[in-house]
Amino acid sequence: MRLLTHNYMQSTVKGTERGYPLKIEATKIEFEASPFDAEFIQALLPKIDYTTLLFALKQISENGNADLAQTIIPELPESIKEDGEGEVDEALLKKLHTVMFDIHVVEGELVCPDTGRRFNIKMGIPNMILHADEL
Amino acid sequence: AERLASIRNVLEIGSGTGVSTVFLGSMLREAKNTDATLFATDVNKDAIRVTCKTAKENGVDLDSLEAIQCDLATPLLERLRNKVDVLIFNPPYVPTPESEVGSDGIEASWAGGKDGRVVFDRAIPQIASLLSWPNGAAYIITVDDNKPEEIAKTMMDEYGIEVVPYVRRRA
Repeated sequence: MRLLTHNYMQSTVKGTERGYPLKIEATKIEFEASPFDAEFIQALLPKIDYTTLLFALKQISENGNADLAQTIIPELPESIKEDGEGEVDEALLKKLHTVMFDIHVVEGELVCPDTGRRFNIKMGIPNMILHADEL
Repeated sequence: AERLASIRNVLEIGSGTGVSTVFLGSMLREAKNTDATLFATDVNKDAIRVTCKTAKENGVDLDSLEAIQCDLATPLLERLRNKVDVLIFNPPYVPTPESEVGSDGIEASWAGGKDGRVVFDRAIPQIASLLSWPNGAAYIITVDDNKPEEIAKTMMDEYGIEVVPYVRRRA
C-alpha cells in the first residue's frame, strides 16, 4: 500500500462517524524508487489531502522500520508553497513523489481513528472488506 | 483525444486481471494525460495482485494505479464523490442461485444471483454518487438476463443518469 492509496481510503463500518484518516501500524515497509515526473506530481497535488499525507508519513516514521525511516524517508513541510505561477519547487516535488509512491507498506494494519476497527495489509494490499454485520 | 486529455480520475470496480484499466491507462499516456489517477478494486486479493502486475508489465506503472481489496468502491466513496470521470464495471452478471453470491473466490467474478443483478444493483447508488457531472461516464457490461432496459429506467428515474447502449455482441 502506498501512502497515496492511503490518502483515499476510509472505514465505512456502520456507526462510524468519521473513519478517516486511517492510522497505519506497519510491520514491514519496503522502499522502491520509481521514475519521477515533475509535471505529474504537480498535477496530483490538488487532488490529495495534504494533512492526511503528513499524518501518514508521521505514522510510518514512528512505527515503521527505524533504519528505513532514517535513511530514506524525507521530511515534508507543514504546507506546500507555490511560486508566483502556482508551481512548486522541484526538490519538494521529488520528496512528495518519494513519500507518495516509493514507500510501500507491505505488512501491517490500518486502524480506524473512530472505532479502532483494524484492516490488514498483506503483500502490500490493504483489505477493506467489511463483515456482514458492519454494513 | 480531448476527452482522454481531460480525464482526472478513473475507477474500475472488480478489476480482475486489470486489463481494462491498464489499457485505458496506456491510452491516457498516449494522449499525454499527466493528470489521471487510476483506481482499481476487487474483492479477491489475487485479482488485486494480478492487476498491479499487469500494470507494471505494461508500463502503466504504479505511477498511478491505486489498487485496493474491497467490496465495490466502498472505502473510496467519500474521497471520490462526484470525481470519477470514467468508471469501468464488468460485474458478475451470470444468473446464479443466491448462495453463490458473495464469496471472495473465483465465483465472485461471475455469480450474480437473481437475474444476475444482485451485485450490480448494489453498485448502482455507488456509481451514481461517484460519477463526475456532467460528463462522467460509467462503462458497464450486462447481458440480456440482467434486464438492461430495467436498469436504464432505474438509472434515469432515480439518478437522472442516461444509459446508452454502446456495443452489442453475441457471447
